[in-house]
Amino acid sequence: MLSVKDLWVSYGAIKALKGVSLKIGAGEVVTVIGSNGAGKSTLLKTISRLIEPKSGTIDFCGQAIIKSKPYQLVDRGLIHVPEGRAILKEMTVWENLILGAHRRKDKQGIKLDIEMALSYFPVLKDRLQQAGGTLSGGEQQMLAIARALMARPKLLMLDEPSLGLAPMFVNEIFKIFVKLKEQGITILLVEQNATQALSIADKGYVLDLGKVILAQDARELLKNKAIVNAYLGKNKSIS
Amino acid sequence: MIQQLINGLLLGSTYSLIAIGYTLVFGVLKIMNLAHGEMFMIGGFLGILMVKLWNLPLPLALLGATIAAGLGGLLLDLVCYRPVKKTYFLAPALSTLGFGIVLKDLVVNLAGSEPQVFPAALLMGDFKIGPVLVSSIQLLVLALALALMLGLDWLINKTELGRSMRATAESETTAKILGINVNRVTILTFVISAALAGAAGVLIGLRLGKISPFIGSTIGIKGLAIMIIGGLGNLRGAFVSGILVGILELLTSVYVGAIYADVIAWTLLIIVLVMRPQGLFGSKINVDRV
Ligand SMILES: Nc1ncnc2c1ncn2[C@@H]1O[C@H](COP(=O)(O)OP(=O)(O)O)[C@@H](O)[C@H]1O
Ligand SMILES: [Mg+2]
Repeated sequence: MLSVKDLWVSYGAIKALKGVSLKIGAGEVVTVIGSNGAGKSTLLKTISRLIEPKSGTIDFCGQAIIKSKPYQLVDRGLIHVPEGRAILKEMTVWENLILGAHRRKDKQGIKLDIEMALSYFPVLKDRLQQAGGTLSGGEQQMLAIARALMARPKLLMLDEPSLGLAPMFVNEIFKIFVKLKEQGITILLVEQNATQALSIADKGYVLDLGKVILAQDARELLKNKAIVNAYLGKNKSIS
Repeated sequence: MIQQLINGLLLGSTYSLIAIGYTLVFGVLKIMNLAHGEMFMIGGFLGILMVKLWNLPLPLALLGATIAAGLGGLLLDLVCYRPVKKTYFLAPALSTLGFGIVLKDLVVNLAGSEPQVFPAALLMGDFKIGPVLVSSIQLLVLALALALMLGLDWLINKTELGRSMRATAESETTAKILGINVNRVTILTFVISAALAGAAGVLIGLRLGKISPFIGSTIGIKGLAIMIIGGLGNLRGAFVSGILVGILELLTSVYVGAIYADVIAWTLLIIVLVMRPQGLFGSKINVDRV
């Protein structure tokens, strides 16, 4: 479904990605783990065409997307939920949701999908007319995910969705990810909360200083003591 | 007194239209469009020319001038905004300033520096409501200005385009990941803003009976002060401040002296910047960031 080959990205003199390659099959959950500054967010931003790479190729469903516009990717079902729950704080929860379906024209389908998104995240139901900024951190993350679902994603890229959330919220959104997977949505999950991410993933990539240092079956990775200690130790207490 | 208040309301409603254009571009794109006064001048100028040269009826001339100014906004985006480096905050401000000066010089070269005068036949009769004298033109101006502003308010708050514009205003990156075509939003922001200024130009022309090619740097630029008084990027703030300034100007020219009227907007601007930099009605963006 997604195939990234030899991706190089720089911010001025800083080389953030140094030849990253990665493959995701349809229906898989793939997690990318790595410490702060490893280049995880840069990878997702480059895939969703927010950042220009220096070189490399990105194919989505068999077509090169390296020259596509971000809205064309949204049309094709590649949806990015960025780090720090980028919801629109001044707009209402309902407006956030409806903007998630910005590229869609099927009014009836949009209506049904709002119902469905609200059934996943019932806390949002009573807050539709509230400004996004008045929600708690956990609720904002739920809104960000619900909004992404409004675009009918084929591939959902989530950048550290559990960051800064209370364990209760973390468990709740991970349960949702499992449900989404069962529905056939492919997921690329970037996490520092690696133990929990690997527990729902099929495959895991370890990113370090802009390079993939390990790509393995998620269960194998979880058993790898050296990796667990080096990269995954941080959030053990949560899982 | 009531007469002055009504005259001020009429004058102010056109100021509001100009200020709303400034604040729309600022709110969505975070840039100061210094060609906006010239869009207003072009609108007024073309409006008069269409009536004089082509004998167009007033509604058509108004529509024509609005569309022409809107196209000017499109050109402004393509020439002065899109190719210019946004990270250098002065760049778009300076390029739009240059665009405005070129427009003004073009008009002076093509049509001369004398004001264009509306044909007298257009000026309709006055009538009285109780003791207050109101001209039909003034009523028309007020009704159109209000209709345009209500229309814009509806567009911004209730339509998908308006939501896209507000989303882009809040975060361009977020707008992009939602699939909003930010280039399209940018063009439409410039076009709508310039079209409103063009309409305001015709309305002011009707009120004054004439338009000078230099009106962009006298009355047009007042809209900039009014935008800041109302709060950067705050549409309703610009609306109310425009009317406030119009009324204060009228009262000043009657009770203090006409020569002081033009300083009202700028005096108010300085007071607001000192006492309440976020504007009377609050800024829609973080003022510290500007
Ligand atoms: N906008 C930016 N400008 C300059 N350097 C950046 C920018 N964003 C990220 N970086 C740098 O690129 C590297 C990778 O960052 P990032 O992709 O955010 O890592 P992660 O998401 O894994 O924490 C880091 O060294 C970071 O400092
Ligand atoms: Mg990151």
